[in-house]
Amino acid sequence: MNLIKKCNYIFFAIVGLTILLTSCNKDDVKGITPADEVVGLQKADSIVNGSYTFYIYKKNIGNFVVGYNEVYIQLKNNKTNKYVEDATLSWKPLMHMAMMSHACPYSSISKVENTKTLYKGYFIFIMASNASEYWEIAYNYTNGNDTIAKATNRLTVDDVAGRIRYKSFKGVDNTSYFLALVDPTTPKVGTNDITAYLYKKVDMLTFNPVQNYTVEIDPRMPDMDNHTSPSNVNLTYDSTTGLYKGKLNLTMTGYWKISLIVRDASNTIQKGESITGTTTASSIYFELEF
Amino acid sequence: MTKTILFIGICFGFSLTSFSQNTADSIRNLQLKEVVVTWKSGLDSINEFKPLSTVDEYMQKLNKVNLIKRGGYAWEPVINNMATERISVTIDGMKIFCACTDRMDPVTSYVGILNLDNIHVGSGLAGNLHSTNSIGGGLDLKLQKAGFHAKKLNISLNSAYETNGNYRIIGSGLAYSSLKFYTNTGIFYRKSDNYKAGGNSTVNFSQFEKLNLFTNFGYRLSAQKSIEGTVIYDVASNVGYPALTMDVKSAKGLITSLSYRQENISEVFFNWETKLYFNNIIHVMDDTKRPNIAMHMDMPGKSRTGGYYSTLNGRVGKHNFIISHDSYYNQSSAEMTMYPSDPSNKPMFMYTWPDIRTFNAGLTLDDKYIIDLKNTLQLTTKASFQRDGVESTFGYNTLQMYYPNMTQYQNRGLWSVSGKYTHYLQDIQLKAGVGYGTRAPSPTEAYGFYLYNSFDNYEYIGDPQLKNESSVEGNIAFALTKPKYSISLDGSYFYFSNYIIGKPNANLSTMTIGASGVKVYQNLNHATIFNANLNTKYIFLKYFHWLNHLGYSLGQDNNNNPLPLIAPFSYSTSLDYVNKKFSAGVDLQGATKQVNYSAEYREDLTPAYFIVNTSVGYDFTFGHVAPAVKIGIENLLDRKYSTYADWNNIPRKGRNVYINLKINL
Repeated sequence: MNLIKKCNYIFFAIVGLTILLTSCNKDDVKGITPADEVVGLQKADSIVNGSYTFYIYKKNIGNFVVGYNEVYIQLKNNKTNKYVEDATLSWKPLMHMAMMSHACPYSSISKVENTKTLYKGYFIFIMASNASEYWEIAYNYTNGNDTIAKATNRLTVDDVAGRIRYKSFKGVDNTSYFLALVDPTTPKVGTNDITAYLYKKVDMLTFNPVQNYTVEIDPRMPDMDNHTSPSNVNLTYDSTTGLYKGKLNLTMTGYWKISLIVRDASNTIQKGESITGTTTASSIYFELEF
Repeated sequence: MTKTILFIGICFGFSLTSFSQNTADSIRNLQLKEVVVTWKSGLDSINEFKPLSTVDEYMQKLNKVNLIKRGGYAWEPVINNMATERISVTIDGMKIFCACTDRMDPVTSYVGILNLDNIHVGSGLAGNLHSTNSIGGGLDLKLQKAGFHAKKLNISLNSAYETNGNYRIIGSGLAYSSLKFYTNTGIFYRKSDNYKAGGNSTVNFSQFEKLNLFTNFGYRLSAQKSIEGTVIYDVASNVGYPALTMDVKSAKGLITSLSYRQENISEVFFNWETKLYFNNIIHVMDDTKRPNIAMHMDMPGKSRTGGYYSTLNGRVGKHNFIISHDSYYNQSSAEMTMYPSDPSNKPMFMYTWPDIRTFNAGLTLDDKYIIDLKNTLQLTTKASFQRDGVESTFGYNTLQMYYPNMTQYQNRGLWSVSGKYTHYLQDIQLKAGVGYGTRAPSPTEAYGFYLYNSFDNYEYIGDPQLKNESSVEGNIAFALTKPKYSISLDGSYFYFSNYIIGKPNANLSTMTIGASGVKVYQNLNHATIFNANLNTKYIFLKYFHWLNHLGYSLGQDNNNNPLPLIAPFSYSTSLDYVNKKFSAGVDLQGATKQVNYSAEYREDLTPAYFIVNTSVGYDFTFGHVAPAVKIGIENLLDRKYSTYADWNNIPRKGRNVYINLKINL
């Protein structure tokens, strides 16, 4: 008798649990709204042009900074009150200086994977703005050859107050190079994916990605007698993403200075020095602190 | 009266008086390998060289035990020239593991001399029934137990003073026994300032302070059944380590156990004990008192062990057998936070022991077959399963940089087997033994991360993929015992395979400022250790005891280079006069220069040395209250010396005059 009772309890428990789990699943299936797609992002700007609004988002609070900046965009049709899901978007950054103007390295704009309304691109700002000199971004929404909407806005770009994640330098080939660290944004002890973009200046308005170079890394802790970590993997060009990718090992938390050597496709050093003898750091480096 | 006792207790302290335990069995073996040193701290203390010495000082008296010293406190025991990772140290069979990555706290430092009834020293693979992962031997610290006897209450008060280091000792305790219930309870406190080496030179950072509280109790449930329990709480604070770059702020140990014992179960089984235990050690290093440190660091460590064992003793015909099952789970975790000299930079954090977990469960079978009155054969085997790994993801990520293919946890099988044959021929005893055993890498050897060794100035990294170390052991012993004299000679030889030791890896970068390099633990193809001892004892003119000891050791790696920390040829001779109330002794200890030192491990040639100690004692008796006074001098000639086992050659204590006072109420 007792046994049967026990069996009954177990049966009801299983049935109950199944119902509970099933209902949970139902909840999960509900639709994702455009608002859901920007959860975790900070709205940087919104610009209205005609019946369209460009919403500009970034990952962090605060102004844009010199170096790598990821930018997210949503485009809303104010007439239909719907977000555009198949927009062809483009942009152009321009620095207005007193005597001249110039652009900076930047990407094209593409749809963020697994989203319906979110677009993404980046700028690598090469200087900060100030009271008289400013960055201006021109956004374009096109369909074929027709421009449907365009907008411009000014950005405040600050010098980075903290650790260095961006370097510009002149190579031995007399070309201006621009190297910007993308990841890690939140470094951890252990093996980190390290990624960076490398551009060169063609003219004031043209900055092209550099392909098939190598960025050698040598992470050091100046506070620990220039301690380094083992098995780091130099950054090499990944043609699918345009990123330079490598592996960065960090043996502890704290302040790390990552000395860099940039070699071109023929393995010639364009910039940077090895750490030997009295040389404790390369002339180009990134910094991380966590 | 109670107030008076309390007052005296506070003023002088008192020590626990032991109720004699029968160690007749051990005495027979005294000249051979299983040395059992027993002190009856209470009644016959006059026979003791220095009744209130530390556990370390007592171990130093044992021929089989050497001690590596990093200061005035917490010496690391070594058996057969093998230290912590190759020997097992248990407290009444309980597993306990140190919490300091730099070996500042060998577990023998968490007990006090008056917690103990004796120390069982087992040599080699057959060393200790409760040992796991040991090859060199085992120490089992047997706790004081008043036992179930006729009703008796004993309180003794103890205090001592030593001139060298202004060393004060004060203690108090109580022992009560009855047929139903017994307890030993006590408190002991020691404090020493910096000691002085020979020639009146102060050894800075050699101070220490230690408080030890303990209680044991037993309750008899029935004629055959009883339960026993132990609680020890030990706090060492402000402990200096002159040989190291750091000191210890505090080392706290809580040791607890509860056991159930059943006796005379049947014709076959006569004793069954099951014990549950838990111990917790928290160790905090301190560099704030050192001048000119390059970088301030916090280095706390902890070690927790919970376990049990169940041991059944029985007899069938001529077979005396033991079946024992034991299991433990240990957590060893240590971390390091370094504060850069530029305070605007963030502190640097890492795990030096990345929350290492070890689970071990084993089965031991031991059979002592008494073939006849002259011949005995003993066979022992233990098989155990071990699962160890790093629980901390942070630590796992760290080690993966060095070992990309490592798994977070791994399983190991361990086993040992040994046989010993004993032949008695009138006054002569002959022993021969062989054995094979394996041990898993220690937490440091497997998972340690950047552990700085101030001896060879290298930083050590463990290797989780190390193979088990194994050893074949052969030993032989001869003893002749006559009423007036005795001679014993013994030798043991260990042939290791996959011997674990650190070797430099030039590709790895140092962390400690000024370190010579980084060593990674590796399996050497083979290594050997040989030990030989000669002991003689001669009793003459009724009251004189003359003891001599000669020891020789040799340790070599696979290239026949010397292994580090191997004892040189050493000798000691002592002459004691014991006549009822008066006792006096003189002893000389020394060693030849260390020829086979390991330059690779930055050992240098330790010169030959010898020292002379003398002591005198007298037992004053007033009615039933018996104060015993013991006065002595150590290192009479005030020689400045250090031995091969002194970390970074720190000199040992110079001349020391001590006085021990004990009152039994």
